[in-house]
Amino acid sequence: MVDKINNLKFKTKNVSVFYGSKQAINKISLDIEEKQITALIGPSGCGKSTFLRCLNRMNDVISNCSVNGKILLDGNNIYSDEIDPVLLRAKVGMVFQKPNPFPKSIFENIAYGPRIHGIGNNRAELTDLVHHSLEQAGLIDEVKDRLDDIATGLSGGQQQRICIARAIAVNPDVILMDEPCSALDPIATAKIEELMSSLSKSYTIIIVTHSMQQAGRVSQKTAFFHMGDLIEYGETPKIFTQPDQQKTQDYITGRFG
Amino acid sequence: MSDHISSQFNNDIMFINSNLTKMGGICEDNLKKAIKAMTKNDSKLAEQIISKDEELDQIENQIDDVVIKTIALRQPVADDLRLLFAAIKIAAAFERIGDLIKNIGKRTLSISEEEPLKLKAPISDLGKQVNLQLTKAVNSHTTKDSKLALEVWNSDIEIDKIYNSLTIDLVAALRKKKQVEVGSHLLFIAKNLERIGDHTTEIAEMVYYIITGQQMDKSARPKKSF
Repeated sequence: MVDKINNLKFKTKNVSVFYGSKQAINKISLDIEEKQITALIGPSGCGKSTFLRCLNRMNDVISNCSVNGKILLDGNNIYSDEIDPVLLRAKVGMVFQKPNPFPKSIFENIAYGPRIHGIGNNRAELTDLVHHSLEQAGLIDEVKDRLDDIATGLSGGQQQRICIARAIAVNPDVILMDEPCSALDPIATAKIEELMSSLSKSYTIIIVTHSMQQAGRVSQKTAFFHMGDLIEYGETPKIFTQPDQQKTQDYITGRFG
Repeated sequence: MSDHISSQFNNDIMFINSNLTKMGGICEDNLKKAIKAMTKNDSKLAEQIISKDEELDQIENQIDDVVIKTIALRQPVADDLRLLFAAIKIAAAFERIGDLIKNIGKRTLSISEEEPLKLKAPISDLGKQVNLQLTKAVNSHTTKDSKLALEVWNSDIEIDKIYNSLTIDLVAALRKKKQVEVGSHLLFIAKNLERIGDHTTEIAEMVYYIITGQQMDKSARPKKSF
């Protein structure tokens, strides 16, 4: 059931994805609320990352991948011909499992997106934007004196926050995160989780995670996927204390064979 | 229900469940003996009951330790989390029941030399009724039977009724016969039995919670005893 207080950001209807003849997800219908954190959980190969990648058409780049069904972002079908996938990916940013900053300076990493999207007309505006994005990503105090240093020299956690700042810089509505902490230590993980929680005041966040504790800590809603099906979707505290489906219970309690 | 992938987790859960059953069994057995000791003025049996209480305390501590360890190490969720949370409360309820039975034993020693009152018979009946409830509560946990747990919960009101009427009769008889000392002990024994009934109800509530994930509506069953 949709909480009346929050508007819907994404609405997906019967979304199925095929890689060639192999079906990866099966008729997923899921409503994602605005300015909330939604976690997608499930065993490897369950289709959660495939579903995540549908939300900003990252699957377009896979040649034999076909997507059926409807995905509405603010009521607009993102797979319609009028949608420019590049603009879509600015609006729906993505952060990956492994931090992947460009082998350029910290400044250039953040300024790259705004430049290609024509945001920030001069150096002063760009500098403001870079500072603001790094501030929002909780990184400014750590890097403000070395913006010209190469970003790949930072720690893993800092690199991941650079990637988050890079996504924020192009003014997105949604940030997709595909296991953003699985390569990080617990302290860096805690910092990213804290950051997610503060970012969710301004952005809609959808996270794929293998850590159920992380889903429990950060998200308001949790969706459990299994073998391409959406088994259960609901309030996170309910999913982790009193799931409706036996399969959900078996998975989260570690009973799946 | 299928097993966890981790066999150690399964072992810990099994340890908790079997020890809760063990605590329940000791309470049932001790309560039966306590009623017998009181009725027959059997001080030897009463002493035996008193010494048995320590075992309950030890098992409760062991359960608490395993629960704390499991929460810290495995971050349990869903039915596992409910079981662990409930296990602490159930073990505490059994431990309290043990204390109350021990107190019945102590009071039996104090009154064993006294002339038995006729009123021991209805107290014994109350005790048997409470023990029946306790057996059902223990069984509801062992067999994961939410209906039986609900039955226990709904029946506590009957124990309250018996206790209330017993108290009135006891006070009236004491006034008449002026046996204040023995009468006071018997009043406390009756009260202890009524409290054991309440703890049995708490156990039933927790069993119901483990199985269904729902709390019983406590306002639906107001307390009516003295």
